[in-house]
Amino acid sequence: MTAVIAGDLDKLGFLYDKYKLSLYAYFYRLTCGDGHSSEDLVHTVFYRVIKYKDKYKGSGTFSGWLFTIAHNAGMDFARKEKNIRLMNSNYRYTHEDSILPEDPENDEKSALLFKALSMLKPDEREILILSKQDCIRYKEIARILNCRENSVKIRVFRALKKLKEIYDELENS
Amino acid sequence: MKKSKSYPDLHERIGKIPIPAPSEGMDDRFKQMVEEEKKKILLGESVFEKRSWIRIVPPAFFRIAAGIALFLMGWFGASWTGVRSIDRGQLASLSDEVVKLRQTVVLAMIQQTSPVERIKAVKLMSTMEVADDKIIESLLSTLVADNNDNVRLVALDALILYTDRPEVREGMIQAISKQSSPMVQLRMAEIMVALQEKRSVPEFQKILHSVNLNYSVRNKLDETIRILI
Repeated sequence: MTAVIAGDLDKLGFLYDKYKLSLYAYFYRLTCGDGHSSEDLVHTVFYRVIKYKDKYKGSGTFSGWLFTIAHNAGMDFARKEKNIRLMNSNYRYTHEDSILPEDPENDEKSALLFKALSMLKPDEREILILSKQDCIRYKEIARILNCRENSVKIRVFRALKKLKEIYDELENS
Repeated sequence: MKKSKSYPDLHERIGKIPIPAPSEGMDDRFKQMVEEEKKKILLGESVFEKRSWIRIVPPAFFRIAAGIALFLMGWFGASWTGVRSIDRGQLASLSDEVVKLRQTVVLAMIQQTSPVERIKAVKLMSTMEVADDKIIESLLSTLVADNNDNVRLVALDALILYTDRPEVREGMIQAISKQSSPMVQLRMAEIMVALQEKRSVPEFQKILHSVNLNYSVRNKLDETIRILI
C-alpha cells in the first residue's frame, strides 16, 4: 500500500489479487446474489482506494480499511437501489466455477441459509457477513461500523438468533 | 419440527456458503481502470483535481479580487438604476482587464524570492482558463532557470496542461538536458513517455553521458529511451 500511496498504481494489482474474492463474496452475500452489482462494487472499492489512498494512515490493518470502504460502498448501493434488490435472493449456485471448495451435501442447506440471510434486514445481514470474513476481527468490525466491540458481539448474536428463527421456519415449511 | 443445530453452527456455515466465481471481465475492467487512473496522474489530472483556489490563493489576491468584485457590483448597480448604461463591448473589455490584472499579479509573484510564493504563482498560472504567451514563457523559463527543484517540478506539471501547443512541447524538450535534479529528470521521463515524444531521446541521451548520474535515473532514462525509440 505504501507504494500505491507513492503513486505506483501497478502495485495495486497485488492488493486486488489478494482481496478481490473476499470482497466479491462479501458483496455477493450482501446483495443477495447479485453478481453483476457485486463486481461493480468491487471496482468501486478499488477506485476509492486510489482516490483516498492518501487518507490511509496505517493505524489499523489494511483489510480493516478496505472493508470500511466496502461497507460505505455497500451502503451507497443500498441507498441507491432503495433496498429493492437486497430484499430478494437471486442466489443461483452451480459448482461450475465456485470460488469455494465443492461440497454437494451442503448445497441445499446453503441455498436455504442464503435465502434466510437475504430475509434479514441489510444491517443484520451485513454484520453476520462481516463477522465471517477471515481477514476481519471484531475490533475492526467495530471500527467499520463505528460502534464498540461489545456492541458488535451483541448485534451478531441478535442477528444470528433472528437468522436461526427464519432458517428453522424455512426448513419446516 | 426440525431445528437447526446451534447458533455457532449456523454462524460457521455463513462463511461456507458457496459463491459463484466472478466473471473473467472483472479483472480486465480493473486493469483498464488502473491504466486510466495512471494516465490521469501522469498527465496531472488528479493533481489538479486536488487544487483548491482557497488553499493556494494568497490573501493579497483575495483583496484585489474583492476590490474588483465591488467595482463590478457598483458598475452593474449603476447600469440597473439607469445612471449609466453598459454595453457588451465595455463588459468584454472589463473582463479582459480582470484577466490582465490576474496575469500581472501572478507574473509579479513568480519573481518573489521565496520558493513557496513562486510555487503558489505557478499553481495560479495553471488555473487560468486561457494562458497567454507571457504565462507560457514564464513557466518555461521557470522550468529551465529556477534554482529550486520543487518550483521547477510544479512548473513542469503546470506545463502539462498546455502540451497541445507545439512551443510548449519544444520548450519542455529543450529543458530536459538542463535539469540536474533526479526528481525532475524522472518526471520529465514519465511525461515524455506519456506524450510519446520521440524528439526527447537525444536530450535524455545527453543526460546519460553525465558521470555522476543517479542510478535510478539512469535506469529510468534507459527504459524511457527504449520505449520511445
